[in-house]
Formats: sequence, C-alpha cells, structure tokens
Amino acid sequence: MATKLQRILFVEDEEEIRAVARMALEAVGGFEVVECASGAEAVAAAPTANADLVLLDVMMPGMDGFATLAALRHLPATAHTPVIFMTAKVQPSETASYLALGAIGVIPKPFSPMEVSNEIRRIWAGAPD
Amino acid sequence: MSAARAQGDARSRVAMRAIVLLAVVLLAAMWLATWQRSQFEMRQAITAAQLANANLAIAYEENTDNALGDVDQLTRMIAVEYREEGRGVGKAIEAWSVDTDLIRGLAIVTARGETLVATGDTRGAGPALRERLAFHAAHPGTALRFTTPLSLRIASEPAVRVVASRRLETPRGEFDGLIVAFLNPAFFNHFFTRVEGDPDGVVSLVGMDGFAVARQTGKVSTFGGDMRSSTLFEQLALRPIGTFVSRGVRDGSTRLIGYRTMQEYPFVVMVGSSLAATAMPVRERTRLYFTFASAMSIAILLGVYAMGRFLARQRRDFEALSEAQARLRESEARALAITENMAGGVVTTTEDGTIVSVNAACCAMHGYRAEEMIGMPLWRLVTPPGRAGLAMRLEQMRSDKAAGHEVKEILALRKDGSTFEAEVLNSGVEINGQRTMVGIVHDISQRKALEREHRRDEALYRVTFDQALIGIAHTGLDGRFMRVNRTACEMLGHTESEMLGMDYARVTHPQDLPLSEAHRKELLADPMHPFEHQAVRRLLRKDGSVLWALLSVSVVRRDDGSPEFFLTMVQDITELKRVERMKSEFVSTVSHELRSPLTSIRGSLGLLAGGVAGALPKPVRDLVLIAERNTERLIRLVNDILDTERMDSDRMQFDSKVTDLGTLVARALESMQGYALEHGVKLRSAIPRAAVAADVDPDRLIQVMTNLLSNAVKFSPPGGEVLIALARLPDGQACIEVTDHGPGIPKEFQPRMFQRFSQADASSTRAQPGTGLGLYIARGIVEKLGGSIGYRTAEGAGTTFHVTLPDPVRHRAAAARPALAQPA
Repeated sequence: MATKLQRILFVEDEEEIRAVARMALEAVGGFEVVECASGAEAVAAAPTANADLVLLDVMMPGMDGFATLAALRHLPATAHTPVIFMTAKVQPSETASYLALGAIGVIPKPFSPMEVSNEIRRIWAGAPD
Repeated sequence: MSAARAQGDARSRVAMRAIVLLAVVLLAAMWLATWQRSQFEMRQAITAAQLANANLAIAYEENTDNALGDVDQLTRMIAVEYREEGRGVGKAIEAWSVDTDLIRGLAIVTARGETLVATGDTRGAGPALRERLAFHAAHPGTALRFTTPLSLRIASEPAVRVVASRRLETPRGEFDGLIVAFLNPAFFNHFFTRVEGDPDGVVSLVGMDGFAVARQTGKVSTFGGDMRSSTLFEQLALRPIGTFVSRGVRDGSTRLIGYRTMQEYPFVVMVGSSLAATAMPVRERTRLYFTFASAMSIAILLGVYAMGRFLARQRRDFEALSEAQARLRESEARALAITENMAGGVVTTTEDGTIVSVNAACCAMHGYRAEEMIGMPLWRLVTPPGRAGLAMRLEQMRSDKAAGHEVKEILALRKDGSTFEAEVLNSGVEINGQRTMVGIVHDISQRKALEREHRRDEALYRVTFDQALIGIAHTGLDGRFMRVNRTACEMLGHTESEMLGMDYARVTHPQDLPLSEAHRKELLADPMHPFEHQAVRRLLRKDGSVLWALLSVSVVRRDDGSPEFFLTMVQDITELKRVERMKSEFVSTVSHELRSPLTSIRGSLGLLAGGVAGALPKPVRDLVLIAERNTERLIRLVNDILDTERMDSDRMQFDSKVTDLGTLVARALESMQGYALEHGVKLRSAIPRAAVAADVDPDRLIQVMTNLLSNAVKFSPPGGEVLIALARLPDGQACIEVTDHGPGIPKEFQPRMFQRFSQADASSTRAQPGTGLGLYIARGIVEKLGGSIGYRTAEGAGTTFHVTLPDPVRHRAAAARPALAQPA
C-alpha cells in the first residue's frame, strides 16, 4: 500500500473496547482514530471521515459488520477504502468469508493493545494497492 | 435287455441247438443205417447170386461131363471094336443110332485118309477130317480131342460143329486112323435154355484153348469166339473154380460169374447172371428204404422247424412274460420301497377300518410293531375326539364309491398313550374288487410347533416393529417403502398408506440425498460391507420441516446373497441436535460474551503495563502484571473451551495445505521464547537442512507445538533445556519431537494424559497453571491432520512427545476418497 496509513475509521459497539482500542491505536500506533459506535454511525461519518482504513467489528446490534461493510462500499468516499475486521469470530471459515468480502485482514479479539498497531501496519503493508 | 430276457434267450438257444443236433444225429444214423442196410442186402443178393451161379455151374459141368462121357465111351467102344473087327466095324456103327441131339454124325477115317464108315450127318466134313487126320498122325495118345466149333457146309446148309476125334492105333500102337464124332454145340445151349435164367444172364462152355464152344446170352446163342483175353482166363490162371464180376465187353452189362474147370475134359463151364437182375429186387427194396428215410428226414426237418418256431414263440412268450414279470416285480419293489421309505406313514384298511398293512414309518409314528398293528381297528390310532369323524369318513367311503380323497389334521394316538399332531390324506381304492382304504399319515407336530413358534415370532416381530420407539422402514431396491412402522410414520407425519410405495428420496433432505444414494450403492455393491451403516441425515416431514435422524441402514439379503431390501432404523435426533446447537450456541455466546470484557481488560492492563498511561509505581505495576498474566490465562481457557467444544461437535475447521514444517517449528519456537525466558529454560531446535513438508493447517499445528513446548517449559527445571526436533522418517512421515528433562510423567497419570481437564497435579495450589485441555486438543488436532501423537517418559529423566504426520502425497490421495461422515 503506497499511501501512508494515517486515519482509521474504527467501528465498535462496545464503548470500553472502543476506549482501550483508541488509546492503543493513538498512543501506541500513532494513528488518528475516528470512532463510531454502530454501523449506522459509521455510514454517517464515512463521507467526511477521510479514513485511510476501516477497522470493523462484526457482531454489533443493528447493522452488523457485514451490513456496515456493504453500506460503506456504496459510499463514494469508502467505496475502495481497505477494511480490517476485528472480531472474536475467527474460525477459518469465518476468516475466509471476511477475506472474500474484500477485507485485507482480520485481527482476533481479544487483541493485545501493545501489538495491535504493528499488526495493522503489517496487514496494511502486505495488502495490494 | 432285461436279465430275465437274456436268460430266456440263452435257454432257448441251448434248446434249439440240442434239437438241431439231435435231428442231425438222427438223420445221420438213419441215413447210415439205410445205406448200410442197402449195402448189406446188395452184398447178400450178390453172394446169393454167386452161389446160385456156382451151383448152376456144377450142374452144368455134370451135365456136360455126362454128355461128353457118352461121346468118349462111344468112341472108345468103336475104337475097341475097330481094333478087333477091322473094317467090319462099319456095320456095327451104322447100326448105331447116332442121331442124338449131341452126336450128329460119326466117321472112321483110315490112316490113308479113306473114310471107312460115315454115319449120320457128315457131309462137308472133308477138310475137317483131313485136318484131324494130320493132327492125330502127329500127336500120339488116344484121348478124345475136341476142336473149336467149325462152320461146316452140311447138305449145303451152314452148320456149326465141334469135332471130337480119337486116334486109332494098331495093336502095336501105330497110327491107324481116327474116329470122329461131330458134336452139335447147340446141345449145350439147349441144356442151358432149360435152366431158368435172367435175360441178361450168360452160360458158356469154353475150351481150354480159349475159344468158346457155345455161349448163350439171353435168347441169343453163339458158337465159337476167342475168349483168351477175357476176365475168365485171368481168373482161371488164379483158380480153376471160382466166381468173379465181369463187365461184358459186348453189351456193357455187369455180370456175376461162376465158373468151373472140368476135370475130365478140356472145358470150362461158366454161368453168369446180370448184376442188374440180381440187384433189381434189392434196389427196389433199397429205394423203399431211401424213400422212407427221405420221408423221415423231411418229417424230422419239419419237426425241427416246427420246434424252432415253437421255441421262438415260446421264447417270445417267455420273454414277454419275463419282462412283464420283471416289470411287475420292479414296480412292486418300487412301490414297496417307496412305501417303506416314505417319510409318511402308510396304512391300508378294510372297508370297516381293520388295518391290513402298515409301513415302517407308520409303525414308528405310532410306536407299534407292524404285526401288532395288522388286524387292529383303525380308531385305536386316533384320540377319542377324532373317532366319530373317522367312523363317518369310513361310512362315507363305504357308501360313496366315488368319494374323493380328503386331507385332515387330527390328533393321533401312540401305543404309549401320547399324542401327536398328524395330517392324514385318506382315500378309497379298489384292489381286486376289494374296497381298500388308504391313509397317508404325516407327523406334523414339529411343523405345527414351528408354525406356532413362527406365528409367535411373527407376532413378536410385529409388535416390536409396530411399537418400537425408533422408526423402522423396509425399502425396496427401487427406493420405495415396502413396510414402515408407526413410529416412522409419526416421525415423518405421514400415514402408513401414504408412505407405502413412496420413494425414500421424497423424505430425504435434498442436500443429504446424494450421500444417501452413495451409501445405498456401497451397501449393495459389497456383500462384505459392514453389516450396517450409521449416518446422520436430515429428513423432511410431511409439513416440510426438517427432522434430524440417526439412520442405521443395512441390506437384507436372500440365502443366495442377493440383496432383497434395505432395513433402515430411524432415530429422531432433532431434539438432540437442538440441544447440541443450544449448547454450542451457549458456549459460543458465553465465549463471546466473555471475550468482550476480556478484550477490554486485556487492553487496559496491556496499556497500563506497557506504560501508555504513564509510569507505574512498582507495587502497582506488579499487580497489573499479575492481572495481565491471568487475563491471558483466562483467554487461553476460553479459547481451549471453544476448541474443545468444536472438536467434540466435530466442527473444528482446518485450512490444510502442504507446508514446510521447518518454518512452522521456527515460528512456534519464536512465539514461546518469551515464555521460556520467564521460566529460565533454554529452547533449542534441530531442523534438517532438507525441507520436510506435510499437509497441515499451519495455525493448528503451531497450536499443537506451542502446547507441547509450553508443557515442556513448564515442567523443565530452571536452567533446563527443551529441544524441538524435526525429522523425516524412512516411511515418508514427518516427525516432530519435543523433549524436556523434567521429572517425567507419573505412571498413575499416564492413562489420563490425553483426557479433558486432566492435569498431573490436580491440587488447587498447583505450581504449573494450565487449562488441562492442551493435550486433549493437541491430540484431536493431530488426529484430524491424519497423524498421531505419543510420548516416551522416564521418571526423573524427562519426557519426549512426538507427533507424526503423514506423507503429504499419500495423505492427499487418502483424503481424495469420498468422505462418509456427515458434516455437522
């Protein structure tokens, strides 16, 4: 991926996880994080978020990860934005389905806050342009 | 051909030969006797004829001798007289009557040739006299001499005369003339004609000089004739008197000849009779004999022929009879053998039911001896309740000659009073005009018992089939239901009549149908296939809902091994599935619900420990680290529980590919370095230069290796070393070994090593914290990868765990086979 990873649109329904993750991503990874508490919020925020990456939870009330991804893909701003799923559901078949939907990677929960940023960078670096 | 017929044939041939032989002997004897008799008679006739001829010859000789004696005496007297009287004798002679039949003339001729006296018929005798004169002048002796018959011309008539002459001598013995008598040879014939003879007979007076004097054959007289070369003279050379058989030179007829040489005179008398005449009466008799013999022969031959015909007919009759007898005997023997060897008892009775005959089986059934049964009333073989029926049946057969046979089941009675169930086929037949009842009895107790047992089994089976709490269905090879039980119907919501004839495909979930089809084919194809096949299938109820079922399918085969139908047992596991799913969902939910707070806790603690929130005082930092470590442990526990649950429900997923194991070993080693460092244990690896690959899910294999490594580290003493080694085994398998030098595995723990939640130290204060699921999961993963896991341990010396993984090439080939297990 040629462009530098700077802004992350982070969609997670649990507030506490959002807080921990935000701190890990900003403090440890040095990213800019745009937080969204639901898929709907993400869709609303996306046009102006100017995100380089979407970090997306799967199990969420209302729009789940898949629905959110589909909605984001319909927006011009995020139609081609890379997506990483961050989820507890990481059975091989599940992982395969995320990748099939166009995700560039999967980060299993619970994640290690000190490692997660490096993991994201590694995925970002390995993803095609 | 039957033996009897062959025997009859042989006997008849011998008889025929004897008859022919007898006939031949008889014929030969008869013909021999006839021939001998005829020969004998012929010989006898010939002998008689010869004797007669000899007798005649004697008579003839005497007669001739007398006649010639007369001539001799006359001429002698004349000679004496001439000597005494001289010329004067003439008167005396003239006075002599010489006109006898024999002496036809007398003459005395002087030495000078002067006829002194001539009396009788002497005419024309001049030349003969001169010849005689010359003869006697030359031959001394006064015996009477005879000439051969001479033809003289007497009184100008030809006459034949034999000239008898005697020399006359002077007293001094000088030749003085001769006396001549002219003899008529016919005299001898005349004599002979007086003898009865046959027309072909012959009488002859022959001079010793070989010339016949007179010869009479039949009515023909001849005089003279040279006989010197005749058979007579051959015979005379041998014997003076005799008989012989001659073949007439002139007439060609054969004659029997008797001859005698006269003693006084140079003549031979010969009498012959024709053989034909002699033989004729004999021949006539012989012909009679032969006629008789011929007649007899014809009679004998006719007899033989008739005998032959008779014997042939006899033989045919005998053969026919023998064959008929043989057939009869055979038929009788067969009938007897059949009757005796019949499994069924056979009993015959008179019209009134008195037993006439029984076979062995009947005796055996009723426990009697045959002689006991014969004469016994039939009702004694039947239990009292059946006797009335028996009497009625007998009465029916007596009154109705056309009554057909009847088959009846009765309770029969044995001699010892016990009973048995019997089936009786009875009918009436006419034997030699006698009405006979025939009963054929079969002991059907066993059959009945079997039938009862069968009915009971059937009922039992029916009850079991109908009341079983599992569904049972018999499905034809065409896939259609043949029989279904109530439970099966209830399960699927169909009535029995709806299900019968329905194709099983209609109640099978479309996604499971190909698998079911494949299984049915496999079961059919291979009779050695495991007797039954168990599988979980989704079935469709009538209302379209899904029924999870555990099916047990087997093929029911006929005696010859050919498949008849499928037997399917259906267990409704929908509820089980629901519970399973609930449990699974529960575990999954709980895990997820646990993960969310854990994510927050881990994140918070991680950031705190990482100093993101600023530097922490040491006691705080220590506590945070404890919390973080235990969070990690809790996360591992949750993960392990999830894995265990997935494994148990066979839902653990594998993303296998052929992978270089060296890389995976290095990754596992690297991930465990921190943990090892914490325990003061050194990790070392031994990876061969040549790549070792296996068909594995890399993450899962790393999970196994880290588990083994963490165990090894955990049980290693501080400063110890753990070695992870990779190798390719000679058989192509890959082997990963993890070796520690810890205390080894206690014997008592070894059997439980790979069980869930088992730990060597179960105390709550165990020094080595773990979930107790590690080895259980490791073994599950390795086995799923087609490999195996094991260990070597020695107490106090350490433990080596080894994982073997199959050769990727073979493993792929094996994995290519259709999976039979139902995916959950």
